[in-house]
Amino acid sequence: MNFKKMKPQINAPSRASGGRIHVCQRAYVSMHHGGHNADERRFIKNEDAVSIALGFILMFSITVLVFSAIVLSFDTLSQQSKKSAMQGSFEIMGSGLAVRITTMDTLVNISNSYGGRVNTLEYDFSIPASIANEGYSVNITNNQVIIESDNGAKAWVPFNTSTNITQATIYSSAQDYKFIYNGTANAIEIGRQ
Amino acid sequence: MEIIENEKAQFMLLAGFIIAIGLVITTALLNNIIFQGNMAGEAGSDPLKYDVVNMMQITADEMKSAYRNANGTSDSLKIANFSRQMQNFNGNLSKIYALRGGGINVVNDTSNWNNYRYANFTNNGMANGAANWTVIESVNNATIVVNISTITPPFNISITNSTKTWQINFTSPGNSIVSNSQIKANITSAYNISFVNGANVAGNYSITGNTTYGRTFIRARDYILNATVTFSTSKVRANLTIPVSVPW
Repeated sequence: MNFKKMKPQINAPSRASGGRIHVCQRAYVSMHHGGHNADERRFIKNEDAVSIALGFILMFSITVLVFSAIVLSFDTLSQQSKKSAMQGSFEIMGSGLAVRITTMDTLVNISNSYGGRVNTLEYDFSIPASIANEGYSVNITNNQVIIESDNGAKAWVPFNTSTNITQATIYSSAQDYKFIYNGTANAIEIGRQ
Repeated sequence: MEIIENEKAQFMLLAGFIIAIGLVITTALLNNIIFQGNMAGEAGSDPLKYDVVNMMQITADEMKSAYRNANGTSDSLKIANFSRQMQNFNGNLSKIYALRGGGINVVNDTSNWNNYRYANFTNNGMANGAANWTVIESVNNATIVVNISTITPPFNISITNSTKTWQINFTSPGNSIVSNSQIKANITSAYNISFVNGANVAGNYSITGNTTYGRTFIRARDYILNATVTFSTSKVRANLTIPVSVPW
């Protein structure tokens, strides 16, 4: 096609112009061929379609969308790490409780091996009110400590004692508890401080 | 006019704004992860059982020592001297544990001694202790002194080596001495000395001699004295009663 021979179809951009497609073709070709005439240069440099408000709205919308996507993805990651962190903390806390129980059991057995008796034995312990901003429950059975929260984080810590354990479930809302040895029942019980 | 109409800085501001938001998000996320990763649960435990076991052992040792050291022309004087040493021990022990943040008190019960309630010939001196038990092994020579206050036969002292057993039967209260020459007449060394049916008898005994390793030994029991130990720390409160065989 020889565009040089074509007569310009418009003198100025017009909304009413029906030759819009033709204009675009010319503009495209002109950019690649160089050598614009005055009308073409004016059209190319015309920035009437550029709106600061529209640009701001577009950029702001895109930014909000991107920001939301990032926050959502980070929140998902954060929830995963939160659950893992809670399970780790539960295991540490459960181990601490199991150590206390077995310590009391050892003391009772040592006293018995001496032929003696345990008149009173109390061992205080405290649990955090929340772990990663979540409450939780501690269920102590005859052979394991089970700690779990509503978001699904759960940990088991097994232990073995010759003394009986009176099963109990305690909650993090009350933080201060104690293990009590009941010599009559030869059992370790859980009570409030 | 050109500088006023130039709008390229919008992109710089926008880029700065996005970077700032990104930094805030990253910081919050990292903080959250680091906080949760380092959040410590209630781990560990104070070495309670070692403290209490040590305390029981040193209390028992001190009571034995105090009994052996208790001199006097009468039992009441001996008991007074015994109690004085135990009070001294209790005071020093309290100071030592106070420095470590704990409280301790030892109360000794000398009623068995005062009322001549002798111990059973069981392993731990209690009526429910092991009735058949070996007092000492690998003996080269020994002298056995037994003073029986109450007895419900059978009860015997069994002296055994790898090939032979000699049993000395006791059927009535009273003092008995089994000399080394008597033992040698029946059993050659090395032998073990055991009590059989020790729960059927109460009294005191003393067995002295040498082992095949060349070491002298004393196995003796007069009474079982009870020591009540009260132990308390910031987290633990314990009250234990332990029977202590004296003098050894």
